[in-house]
Amino acid sequence: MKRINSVEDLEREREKIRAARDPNKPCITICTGTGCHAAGCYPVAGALREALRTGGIEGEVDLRITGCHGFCERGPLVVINPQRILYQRVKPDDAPDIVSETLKKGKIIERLLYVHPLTEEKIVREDDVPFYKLQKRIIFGNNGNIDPTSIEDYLAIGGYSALAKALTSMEPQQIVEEVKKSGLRGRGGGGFHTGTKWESCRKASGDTRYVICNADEGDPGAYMDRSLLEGNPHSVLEGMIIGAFAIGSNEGYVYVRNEYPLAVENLRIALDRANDWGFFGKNILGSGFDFNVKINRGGGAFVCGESTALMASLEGQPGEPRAKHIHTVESGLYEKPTNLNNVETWANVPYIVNLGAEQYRQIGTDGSKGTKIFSLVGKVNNTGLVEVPMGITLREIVYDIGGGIIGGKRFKAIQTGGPSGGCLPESLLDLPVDFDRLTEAGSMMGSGGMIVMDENNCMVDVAKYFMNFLKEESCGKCASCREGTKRMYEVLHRITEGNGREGDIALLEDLSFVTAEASLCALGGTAPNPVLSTIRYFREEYEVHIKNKKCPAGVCKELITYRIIPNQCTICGRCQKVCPSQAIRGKIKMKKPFEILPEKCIRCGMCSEACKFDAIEIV
Amino acid sequence: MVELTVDGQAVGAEKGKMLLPICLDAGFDIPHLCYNESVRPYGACRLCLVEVRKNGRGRMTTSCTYPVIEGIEVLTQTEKVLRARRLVIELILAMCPGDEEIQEMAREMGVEDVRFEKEEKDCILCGLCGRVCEEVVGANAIHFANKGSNREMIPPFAGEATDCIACGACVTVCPVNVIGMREESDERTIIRWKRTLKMKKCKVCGNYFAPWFQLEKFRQQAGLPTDFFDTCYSCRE
Amino acid sequence: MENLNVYAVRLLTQKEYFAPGHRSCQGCAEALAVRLIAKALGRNAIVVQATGCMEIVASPLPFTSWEVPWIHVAFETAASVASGIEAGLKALMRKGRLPKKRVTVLGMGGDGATNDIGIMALSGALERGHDFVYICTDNEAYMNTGIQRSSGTPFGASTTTSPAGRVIPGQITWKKNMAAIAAAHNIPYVATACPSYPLDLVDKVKKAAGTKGPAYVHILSVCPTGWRSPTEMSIRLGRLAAETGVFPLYEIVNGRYRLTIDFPKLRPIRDYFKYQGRFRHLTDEMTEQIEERVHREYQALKDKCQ
Ligand SMILES: Cc1cc2nc3c(=O)[nH]c(=O)nc-3n(C[C@H](O)[C@H](O)[C@H](O)COP(=O)(O)O)c2cc1C
Ligand SMILES: Cc1ncc(C[n+]2csc(CCOP(=O)(O)OP(=O)(O)O)c2C)c(N)n1
Ligand code: SF4
Ligand code: SF4
Ligand code: FES
Ligand SMILES: [Mg+2]
Repeated sequence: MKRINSVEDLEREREKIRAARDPNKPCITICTGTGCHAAGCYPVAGALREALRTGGIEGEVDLRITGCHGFCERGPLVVINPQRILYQRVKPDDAPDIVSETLKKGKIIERLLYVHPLTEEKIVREDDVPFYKLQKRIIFGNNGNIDPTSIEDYLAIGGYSALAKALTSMEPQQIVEEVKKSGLRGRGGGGFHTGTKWESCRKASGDTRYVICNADEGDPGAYMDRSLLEGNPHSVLEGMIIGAFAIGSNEGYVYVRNEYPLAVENLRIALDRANDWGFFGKNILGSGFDFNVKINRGGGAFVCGESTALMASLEGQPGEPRAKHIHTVESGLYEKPTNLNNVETWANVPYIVNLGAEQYRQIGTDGSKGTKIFSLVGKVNNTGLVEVPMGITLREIVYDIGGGIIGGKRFKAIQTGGPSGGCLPESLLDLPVDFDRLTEAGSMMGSGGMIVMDENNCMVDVAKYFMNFLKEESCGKCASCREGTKRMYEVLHRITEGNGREGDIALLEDLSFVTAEASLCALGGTAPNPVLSTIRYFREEYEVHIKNKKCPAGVCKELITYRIIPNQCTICGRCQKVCPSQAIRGKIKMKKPFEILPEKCIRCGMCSEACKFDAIEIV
Repeated sequence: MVELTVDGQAVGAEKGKMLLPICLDAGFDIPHLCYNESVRPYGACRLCLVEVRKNGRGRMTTSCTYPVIEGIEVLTQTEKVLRARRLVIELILAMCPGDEEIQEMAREMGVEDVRFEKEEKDCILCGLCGRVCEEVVGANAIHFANKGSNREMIPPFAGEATDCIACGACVTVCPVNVIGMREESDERTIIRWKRTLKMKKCKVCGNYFAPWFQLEKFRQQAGLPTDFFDTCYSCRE
Repeated sequence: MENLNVYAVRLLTQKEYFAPGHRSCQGCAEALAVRLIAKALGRNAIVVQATGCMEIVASPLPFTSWEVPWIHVAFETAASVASGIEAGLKALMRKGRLPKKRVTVLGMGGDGATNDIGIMALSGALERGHDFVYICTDNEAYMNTGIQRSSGTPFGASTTTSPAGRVIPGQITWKKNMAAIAAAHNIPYVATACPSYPLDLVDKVKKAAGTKGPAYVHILSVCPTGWRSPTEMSIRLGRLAAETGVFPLYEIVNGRYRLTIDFPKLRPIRDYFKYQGRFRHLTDEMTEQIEERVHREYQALKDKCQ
């Protein structure tokens, strides 16, 4: 490809690409995001290709490998365009039918459709599935439409037009103003106003400025940044170029964790293509603006997502946070003014530039504008990545998009904000998704983790789980964070083991105070959230653990006993077969209910899982 | 020069200087373990906490890493600060219960015992030795390794510190005195870093005066003649 | 400790509590000793200074070199005033009139003020067990008033009141062993030091300050004026005093002796004498006699260190 040197050339090329494409030509898109990959999308893709060939319509149908569509629970996902028919949980064996029935005859294959769990209605079109219907997928939606390795795909949907607009018809300051006006706040966790950050960096003294994309995404269970980079890397790069132009930077970095090989790969391909096309390098689109981006792979320490640790790591220093009394926008990477934004934040930029701040502001609440992508996981029916407008309530996310709790169980809590977020109870389900409201409630937006918990989750155990993560991931520099998280874990651990002591809650509160208040970076600063929020909303559960040595949710092994309910036991003997510890007494011949010997039981729960008659209870 | 107040008292200071030394010089006692003026501040021990108020907004921060600016109001003894410091020292004491310096400091801050299971560590992870080795000596023989509570200060791969010149700067700077040095006949050992070096004998007085390795390093760095370190300081004319 | 000299000195605080600009002679090692003492003690110290060079040079009214509370007292009273201050602080802290914190009370005097005129006050203070530090900065004569001999003047040294002549070869008494006298009070910490070994000195002063109860440090301080030695030789002379065994560096912690810097082989004593005018008149024979006794005493000390 020859470098494009002007906006006119760009539009001409775009028209060429579009003209060569027939919008009515059938196209199968196959999601190959994280979830679908695990569910086996590649064999499905292979089978479809084969079926197209044997069906003799190879040339008439496009097959497109895309990034994550979001509805991971139902993967592998296949969408037939232009009708947008959604087939879910597709297996390679389904491929011949899809080709012969749907593509050739236009018939819907009922068995592959999504069934509404409540109405049992079969839904044909992707957009009609409630999971998607209530979302607002302005950033993430294009994942399903493009092959991330094809810059032509991105150009065909209007890619790099925001860049063209910014470079040719806007002044850098004007772009900053526009971003400020849009109300965009950082999606990486802190929720800092992006425009304000850009402005400070732009105004900071010095010739060299850096822009960085934070793609470290260390929260366990979160994968929205990964999916954006894997599925639509150009949108992130485009945002970065616009940002660099607005800030006055000629050098950028993407810091992406090495555990995301596909994201690294797709990003590299995108960068190479964009370079070829002239969206990077010298004199971009003839504007006189130069910009280059380097990809840097991180080793995967959670703390390296923190801005100063990330910059230290980029410099080749150990990934430890530094004191930020002088902001990184003034003295960051190599002590030069540096603007760091999250992947999703960058991806919002082209949208804002294209449609204008006014339109962007229409979405969201007073304090939080636009949309946010969450990774919705846990005990909901529809897990996956969801992009919702700010202001939507947690209830809507859990019940309408998430399809409610698995098995009709009772909702107990929702954990937002990643490992150092908080657990919110049922009474707060009507809380709108909004940076400030979530913080007020003792949780946070974080980078977008969302874990739904039901009555079978023990909140002390949950707090312990997150504290274990945090104590491992604390860089260890601050005595308060290193020792504080370790000791909180210790106390939580002993509570779940039945060794909780009088005063342990107060001790946890002391530790929370010192960890949050005395530590340097936000890891320590927010580390107590899981503990404090669970104490705040589920104090009783702690007390029962400590005083009565019981775990009401039946999770903490040391505090539960498995018991066979005699009149529910059908004397089938299944439990006895699976018990690894020979702890179940009884003989089918004896016709007497089986019995669990507590002294031998290791509380693994195998029997209860094996029992088909719900005859094994936890007390 | 900037003006600030510390516990209500006006104090003048050079702009950008760190708050801790300014407060100490002005006569305010602030406990601290990881600060030494000869190396860059690091902020590991979290004991030197103070409250800093600026434009009506206050927050707690470590004074050793806080560059002073005009008009701040510093409070070194608020309830919050004292509570946080007491908890920090309790945590450090629980980690290194055998360090006398820490015991003493804890006692002075009113912490008699710890509410946690005591560990048997001795290094408080202040990082001073590593920073001195890097910034003052330039040998870079030791560094922090691992994260979280597995963090430790060690020579590369926890073996012998092969870049250590046995100058003992780290031994001097360690606030809890856990590095240790031993000199026996013609050998000097930095105990914690498992580094033993042969000493050089003075041609004139016959006393061992410094490790060969170290002298050779200096000699090469400074481009001195080969016989420069044949005699010790006292015998050199 | 002392052989860590290369970089470790750079780790001492740059803050001065005994400021420059005072009026000591060029090459005065006593002033250097005081400067290091002040650094070692830091800000939380109260210094009681007997009359002598270190008082005169540091406080030409209205100036002072001291950046910590400092009081000049009569020649013989440093130890008694220091005991009083220590007792007063203790009482005020107990009553809550002063915040509880660690303050080092330091009594300080020259060899005249310590070995001779103030010895009674010192002995009393050591015996009463006050929690304080006493430091003698020993320049081996009453220097401030013009180099009169004291009981700290070494055998053979010529002073204005022990001039070397044809009959009498300068000082004819052996130097009083003040450290041994302090140790005889069974106090928890006694040490000897010299500013030519700055880290060793700082270390010992810090240990003395950290000691609960009385602590005594005896510091040999080269005086180029009184010793008739080249001013640029002061540091080396201090080292030679140690290396020849004339002034061994040791400490006694709770009765246990330890040479902090040991020299397997002592240097010939003339290496030390040859730079000093006060010993110029000594014959080889006398030098040998002195050397013999120095070695004997050094060995006796080493024996105690076993
Ligand atoms: C321990 C820790 C981990 C973090 N991890 C990430 C991360 O993985 N990705 C991210 O974008 N921001 C992360 N952040 C937030 C960044 O420090 C920074 O605020 C953010 O990247 C700024 O971009 P934004 O303004 O676009 O949100 C983390 C912060 C902390 C304290
Ligand atoms: C009771 C009394 N006698 C004599 C003096 C005079 N005087 C002042 S300083 C001094 C000599 C001090 O000698 P030393 O204690 O060894 O201290 P140096 O000056 O040698 O440091 C004398 C004799 C005095 N001030 N008070
Ligand atoms: S708060 Fe925790 S993670 Fe952050 S710098 Fe301190 S020790 Fe490291
Ligand atoms: S060895 Fe001493 S100086 Fe080094 S980190 Fe540990 S406590 Fe600090
Ligand atoms: S002295 Fe400030 S954090 Fe240690
Ligand atoms: Mg004298």
